[in-house]
Amino acid sequence: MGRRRRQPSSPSPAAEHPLEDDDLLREIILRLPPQPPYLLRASLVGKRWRQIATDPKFLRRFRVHHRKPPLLGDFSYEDGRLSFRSTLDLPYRIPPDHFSLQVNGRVPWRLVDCRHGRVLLINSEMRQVIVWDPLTGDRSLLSPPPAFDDMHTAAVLCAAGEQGHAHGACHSSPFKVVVVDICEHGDETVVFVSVYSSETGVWSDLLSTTLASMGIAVDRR
Amino acid sequence: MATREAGKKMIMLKSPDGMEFEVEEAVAMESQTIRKMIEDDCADTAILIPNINSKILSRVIEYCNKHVPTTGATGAAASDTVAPAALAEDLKIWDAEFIKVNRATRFDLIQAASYLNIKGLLDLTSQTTIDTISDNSLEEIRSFLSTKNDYLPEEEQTIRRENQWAFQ
Repeated sequence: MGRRRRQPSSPSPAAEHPLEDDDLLREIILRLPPQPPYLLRASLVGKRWRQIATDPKFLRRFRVHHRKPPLLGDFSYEDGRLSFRSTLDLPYRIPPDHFSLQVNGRVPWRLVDCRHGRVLLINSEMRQVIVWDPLTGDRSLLSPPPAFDDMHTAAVLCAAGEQGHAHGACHSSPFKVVVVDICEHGDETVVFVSVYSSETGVWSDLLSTTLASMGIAVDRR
Repeated sequence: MATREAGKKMIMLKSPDGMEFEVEEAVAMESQTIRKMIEDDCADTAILIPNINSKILSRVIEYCNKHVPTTGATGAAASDTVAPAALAEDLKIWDAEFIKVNRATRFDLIQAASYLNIKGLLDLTSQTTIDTISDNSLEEIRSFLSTKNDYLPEEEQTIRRENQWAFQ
């Protein structure tokens, strides 16, 4: 299939339908809503549409154009089951069972964070952390350093370092996990954290800071 | 010809069907393509805009006239007295009216906005097009855009199967 490109010095001949021009079709597809079902569905219109909608260069531009990563829905967690609820309307609504994760429900996992396309669950009893990418199904089970025998909370974030990275499809990018714990000594509260990097596969040394007891309220979600 | 009128530099734009439009240079420079020609000193005489007929070119000029920043070298400006938010709201309403055109005209405007490199107009025309169709069925999209389905039935089925979750 031929890819028609407009000469930069002049527009397409007036007789040609504008959407026969890949550049113009790209401009239009670029403005689809950012949620992936829209692009996937657009790729069914015809082969040229699919070619554009799957082109990595276009996808980068698509993410930059939309800036913020798209919201597909939210998760809730109960008795070992993560349930997904799509916030999109039909025909783009994602079925709840499309994103499912089974964990050992007998031990108390907590869903503590969801950022840059990854979901984070922690289990203080077992001193374990699950990082799960619902779109790719990738999941990592991590064990924070022994000092975190009662994790207070944790966060996951994309650690993509490449220039111009716009969060939205961070699946192949490295990530970081931050675990936080606190301990109280009299009037003082010591907050300590460790940061895990998926690039090195290593937890950092403990970082800590001392705060006045009244000075901290970490939300335990 | 580049002339002066009421202290403003004017520039002549010519459509291929022989119409001439005299516009303020600042208005014409809403188009990055024309701006570059002017800055490169290629615009001493009239600028011929290839493949954009007079009907479309006059609409494009109308858009640029409305969107040219109101502050300028000439001093007193409307935006001094009107709050920016009100101005933006006014532009939005104006844009919504401006884009109430038939499909063929809108496609012509997309083409013109792309060639003349007028970001605001390209945003407006492309966004309106995709908003019109994104909730339609695939058949409706194809017919609206005069696009043929060039998939073999089995190819289409494979893509649907692989991405079943997106095609409820």
